Amino acid sequence: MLIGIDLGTTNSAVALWQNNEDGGEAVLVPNALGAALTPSAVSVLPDGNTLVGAAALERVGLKDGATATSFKRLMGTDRKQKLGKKEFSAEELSALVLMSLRDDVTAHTGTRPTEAVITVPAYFNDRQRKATRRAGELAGLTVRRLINEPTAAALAFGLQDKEEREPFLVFDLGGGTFDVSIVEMFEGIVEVRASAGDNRLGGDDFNSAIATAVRGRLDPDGLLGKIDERRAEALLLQAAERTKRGLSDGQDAEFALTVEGARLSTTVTASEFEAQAEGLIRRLRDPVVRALRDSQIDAASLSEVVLVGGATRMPLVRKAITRLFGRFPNSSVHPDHAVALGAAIQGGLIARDSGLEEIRITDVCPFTLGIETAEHSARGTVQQGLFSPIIERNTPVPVSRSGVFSTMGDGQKQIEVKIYQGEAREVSGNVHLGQLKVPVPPRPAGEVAIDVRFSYDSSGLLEVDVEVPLTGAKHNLVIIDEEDRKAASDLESRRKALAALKHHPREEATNQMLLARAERCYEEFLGDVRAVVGDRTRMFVTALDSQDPRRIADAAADLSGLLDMLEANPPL
Amino acid sequence: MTPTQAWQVLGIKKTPDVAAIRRAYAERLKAMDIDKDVDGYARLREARDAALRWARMQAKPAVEDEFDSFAGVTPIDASEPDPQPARALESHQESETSSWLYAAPSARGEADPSLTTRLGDNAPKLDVTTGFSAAQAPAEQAIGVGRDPFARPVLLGLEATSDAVMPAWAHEQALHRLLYVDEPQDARDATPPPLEGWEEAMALGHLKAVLRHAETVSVTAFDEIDNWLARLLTGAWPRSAPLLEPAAAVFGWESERGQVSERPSVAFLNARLRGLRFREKVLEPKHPLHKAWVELTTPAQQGSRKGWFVKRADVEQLLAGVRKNFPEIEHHFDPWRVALWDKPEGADTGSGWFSKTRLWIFAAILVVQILRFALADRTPDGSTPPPPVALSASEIAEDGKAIQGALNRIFGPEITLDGLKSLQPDLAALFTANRTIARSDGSDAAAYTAKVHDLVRERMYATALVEKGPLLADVQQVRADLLRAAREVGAAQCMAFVRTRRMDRQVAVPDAVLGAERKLAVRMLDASQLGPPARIAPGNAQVPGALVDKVMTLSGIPEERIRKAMNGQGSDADQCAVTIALIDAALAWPGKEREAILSVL
Repeated sequence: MLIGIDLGTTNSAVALWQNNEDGGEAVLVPNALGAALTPSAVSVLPDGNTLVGAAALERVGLKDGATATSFKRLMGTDRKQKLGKKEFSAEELSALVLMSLRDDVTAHTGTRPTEAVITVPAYFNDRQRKATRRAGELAGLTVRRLINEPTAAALAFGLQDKEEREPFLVFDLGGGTFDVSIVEMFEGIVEVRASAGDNRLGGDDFNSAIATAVRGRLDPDGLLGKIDERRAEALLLQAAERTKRGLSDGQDAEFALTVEGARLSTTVTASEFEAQAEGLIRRLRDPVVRALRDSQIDAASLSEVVLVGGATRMPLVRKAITRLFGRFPNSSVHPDHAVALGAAIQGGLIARDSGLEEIRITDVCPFTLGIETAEHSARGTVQQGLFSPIIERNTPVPVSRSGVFSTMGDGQKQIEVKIYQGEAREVSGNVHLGQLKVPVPPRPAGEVAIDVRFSYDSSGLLEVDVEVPLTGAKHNLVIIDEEDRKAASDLESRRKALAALKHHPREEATNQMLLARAERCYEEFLGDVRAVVGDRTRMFVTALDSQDPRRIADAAADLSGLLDMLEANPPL
Repeated sequence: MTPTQAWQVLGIKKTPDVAAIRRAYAERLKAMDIDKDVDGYARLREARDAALRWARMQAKPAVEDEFDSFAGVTPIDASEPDPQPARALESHQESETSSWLYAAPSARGEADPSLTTRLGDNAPKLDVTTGFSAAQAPAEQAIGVGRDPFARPVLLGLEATSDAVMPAWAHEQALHRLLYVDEPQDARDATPPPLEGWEEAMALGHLKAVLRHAETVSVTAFDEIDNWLARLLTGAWPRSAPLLEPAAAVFGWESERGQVSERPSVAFLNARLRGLRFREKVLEPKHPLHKAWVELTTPAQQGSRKGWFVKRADVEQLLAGVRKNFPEIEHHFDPWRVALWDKPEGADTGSGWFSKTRLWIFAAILVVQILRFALADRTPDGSTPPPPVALSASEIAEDGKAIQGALNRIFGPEITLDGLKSLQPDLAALFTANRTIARSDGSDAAAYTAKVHDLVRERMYATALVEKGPLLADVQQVRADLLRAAREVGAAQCMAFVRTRRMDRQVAVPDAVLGAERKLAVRMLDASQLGPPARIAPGNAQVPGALVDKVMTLSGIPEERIRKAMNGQGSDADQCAVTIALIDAALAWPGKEREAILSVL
């Protein structure tokens, strides 16, 4: 079975394509708690068990929280996060989320999925894409295709009514990444015209902006400085997220958190938030301008501006979008569900499912690919490290292009072809993807030419062919970087290591969630209330130990009733 | 791909029907596996794009007739007869679909003189159903700057009327007018003058309005303003220099730096911006290359040596760095000075001993000079031991007479010491102080007069160099006459006056010259132009060949000797004659080099 997964910075979701009498449709698969969204959070309990999703997120600010969030931002890097006693890389943490989603589908359909379409931000570079692919494989899924998030959203939006659509713009501001795509639909063709983005801009940055703004006045005694730095940050960001949501409804919101038995609180006004986030709002414009410029489309002739991603719910962001485009955006798709649904549609397309026969999708390569070259400067020196593009950004894929390059030195015996991705004129500003050495016959400078051909396929795999016409020799390189080579050997062992981690049984998910929530409330509330929470939690744990389903259900109802009441009307 | 091939690939007959082209494309696309047939896919796309381009070209003339070259941009005109604006807009969008692939034909506002007014009239109307107005004459049309082929007027943001007092396009127009001076046809290659103070203030004000406007409009309009402004500033460089930083900040030009897709005009401006930034930094005394910068920017002249306290390594680093990274700021360097340093190290060592000795001798002279000035300076403010307390009445009368004598000679009898005190107190103090010194030296009244006359002449000359214009011409006119008078005594006396600005006492200046000089001195005194002199920096100027010919005729000296003399070589007689002739010739010269030459003589 082929599933579609939206692996997000804040939340993830899984959907599948179901055939029915009308043809078929994409449906979301609920998780063990019955929710469509699973927070992208992983926590390791003191007993070594791992938790994924809402329960893990509840633990993020706890003293022994050992919880990782927003790890998508570290994809493609070597940074590891320590949870409990173990260290995890971003792709391993993502794999744990993917495994949890896979299990949700197994529980929902009774069949274990083996293949997946996973979405990535359009502006993810090659390394980040590879890391995502590996995460899928670590989770035991064959990744049939990586598809760009705005493209997936466009599919979901476009297939709502299957109508012809003039170019529309997908504005995808997620938790950690920002993408813009310009898409057009006609005659069953979904054509992405251009994509641009900023893979370091998202809702998380708005939380950080709030946290930075209030930290000084919130905590004049420096209480947060006394606790673990990571925990202090987690508490601040968690509180900022609540404040941000509050500001979506009102003109001001409380910023409050409890640390070491002390409650810190302050008020943030909408205008203060606006001033604080001004720099972030400004950064929204650049990718939009680039995408419009590349596709030669005027903002006024866009038929719609489609909002995707949780961060587009912020009134601040909506206001900015309205100003950018001179119109109100379209919010007819669910900002959190569209990407997963689109991934499932893509899955259906790959499987050639009925109801999708008439649909084709064409995408673009959102960044420039090329090789390093050197040239003689006007002053007679040799300037090295220059980037010579071969495939320009926003070229429709699949694509195959070539360029001719020649030797620079007399009697040069080999040419080193270094492959880069990016927009900088000097390769030092771009991402290095790989290299290959091509031996050439020694001749005077400039007399030996090589033909470098780049082939980039629909799932973002780059193949480089180099031919030396003088000798007829051919060289081929499927881009595999260092991590890939390393990963190929130990992928299997890493998969086993991950599989060997103890996971809390799925059927216990609700109880685990309740327990984590009670723990958080215990740390958040003070005095008598705290004692009551502690009391009821102990009763619940005793009931769990008794393994008597009825007793467990009673205690759970009791505890969750209490927590609901407390959280709805905070005593402070 | 030729159009014929395109129709073949698409498998349809030539048609301007966009829908048919798309349908054919979709059919072909669905029939192929694009991952297996990459070239086939590329060919199909190319064919479709070529076909659509052709179809668009067929459609264009009709569109132009209907909308007066504003196809798809004037929903207000189109919607006016329609009672339901929303529907009108929809139908308008439909009409636009025919040209979806590329933006609508570029507007050519200049062709329609009534355009600005007409669109301007429409500006305040707000289409309530869609929430945006079709306001505004796009700036570039009103101004008529070369347009981007894809740029076109766009709908603005929610702000219906931008600025009631002065709409944005008027600010843009004003900015353009300020930056592009009405150049005469022949001044094509001359650099335009920098913005004057008031112009700069106005330009910054307009720029601010333009930038504020840009931040409130839709992205396309923003992009268009971005492009327009980048080209405007590039085209008007260096006049536009003061506007660069604020504009770059709003449009984020620096983030585009080093990108493959960096626009040429933005690349040009970024290079300037980097140069500006570097110059600001290096002008701070703390910068490690500051001394080297000062050295290289100090004008050199004949006989100048390299600076003594500057490390060669620093100068070389600065020179190499500027040439590599900021070639555009190399013009701040003095070419003669650079030439001194550019000489290879080896060529310099031969004269090493000599230059070092000279250095010490010069340093010794410098110290002596400083000491002398220190003494002279302290006299006026009375901190030096005052002269014997009691001057006899006769002595006081004698001083008064001597001072008035000098004043008579320099300014004429209408200026008294009290008058001078009220007009130029520091100069009056100099007169009395020098009188005191003269009496203690035992020098006579004539020597005293000569001394203060030199001081006044120096002040006149220094002020003229700063003021330029007619004053410079007048002062140089008198100076030429003074040099002529000095030459009567000897070429050495003439050159001594040029070099030290001290007039030899044997020189008898004709009364006519003295009279002219007095008139000028009084005029400058009335205008308070005889304050302490600014430092007279050596400089150099280009002398056109035609002017050299004039000098040849006036002085009767052959060209080669003239060139030598101009470079400070040759006999005193030649140099004196050439200087006088050059002043005369330059005063009569109509060209723009006149002032520059008069400023260095």
